[in-house]
Amino acid sequence: MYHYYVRLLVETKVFSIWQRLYLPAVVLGILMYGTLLILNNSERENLEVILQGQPFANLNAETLPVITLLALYFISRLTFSILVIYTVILNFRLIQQYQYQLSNYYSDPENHSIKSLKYILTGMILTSVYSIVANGIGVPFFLNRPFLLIIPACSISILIFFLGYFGNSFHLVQLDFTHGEALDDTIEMELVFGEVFVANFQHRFVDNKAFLIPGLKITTLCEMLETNRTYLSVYINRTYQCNFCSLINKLRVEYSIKHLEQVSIEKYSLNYLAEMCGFSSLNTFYRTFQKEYGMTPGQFLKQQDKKAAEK
Amino acid sequence: MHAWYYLLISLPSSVCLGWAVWLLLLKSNKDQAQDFLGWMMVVGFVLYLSYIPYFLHRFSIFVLLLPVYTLGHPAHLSHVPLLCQTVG
Repeated sequence: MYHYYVRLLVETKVFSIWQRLYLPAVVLGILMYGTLLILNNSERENLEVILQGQPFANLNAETLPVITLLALYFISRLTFSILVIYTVILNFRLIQQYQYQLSNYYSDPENHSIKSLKYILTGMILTSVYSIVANGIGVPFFLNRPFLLIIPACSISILIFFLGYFGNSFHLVQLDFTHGEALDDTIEMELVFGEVFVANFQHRFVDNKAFLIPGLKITTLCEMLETNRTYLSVYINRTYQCNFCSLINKLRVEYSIKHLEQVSIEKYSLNYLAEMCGFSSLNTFYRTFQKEYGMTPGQFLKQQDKKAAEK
Repeated sequence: MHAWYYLLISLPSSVCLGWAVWLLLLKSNKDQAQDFLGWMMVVGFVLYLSYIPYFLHRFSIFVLLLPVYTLGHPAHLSHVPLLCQTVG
């Protein structure tokens, strides 16, 4: 279910693979119910004693269905432990794909709930790991020491609370993706980039500085250029060898450098410059600048001052 | 049994129920993922609710609910080595 939930968050088309993942649970659950039905009263009492943490003594033919039931229970735990590791790996891959999608879609993907998604997944993993640890200690252990029950009860409740909290506050962006894909389906894909399109892209996006629009989406640019998302995305990838977000950041940083070189910092505060270049915050500006240029805007300014002093 | 004991054993299921009600009934949206999270909370509610008979020493009910853990397991991974503990 965790895996299916993450899939719903990050994919526009959800596949039925999760149902196969759930199949072992259904089969083992039915087998356990079947075994429970054939237990007689003494065997059921025997099982209750075992579940209270008593040693499993006096094994005889009468306890065979009990052993079968407990074996099924053990197999189910083992199966699901393996499944959880598998689905956690799948989930991380899905999140990577989601981040890639975001980079191809938004100019500022950091503002689109990646953090919440990470918190949700971390919450799921923590809940699972914590459950394993608590049950490694054993439920009967807590039965005999009720005051210690406060630890698993409260910590699991806190984890569930935050899982619900972050899940509730997560703003879905896959609707935007779906919209973009629907647009793609309506327009035939061209493999050759026409001169008109290239000139249009250069004029409207680069020369007219459309990349400075805050929170620019690839679909907005598609509308400006009268093209579809896939076509534009492929053009950017092939021509600039990067995704939509990287291109925007690169152009914005280049634009900010021109300003920093030409105008003294007294005239422009970095905050204003970040806003002017379309960055959503000063932090994003700093991070992007450092990534693209290898130094912070502050370090760049100091370097400029040094050069000016040497002259 | 003290009141705090009842509170403790019903706490995880209450939190799940709270989120399930909020996500499925009170928050009306068309967000598939949030709806699904609501259903996950329902499963969590049933799963943690089924612990209560165990901690109330009603083992005959708990035995009948054993398969519920199996079915609820993929949602909230739990109870790996209960058997190891009891058999060992």
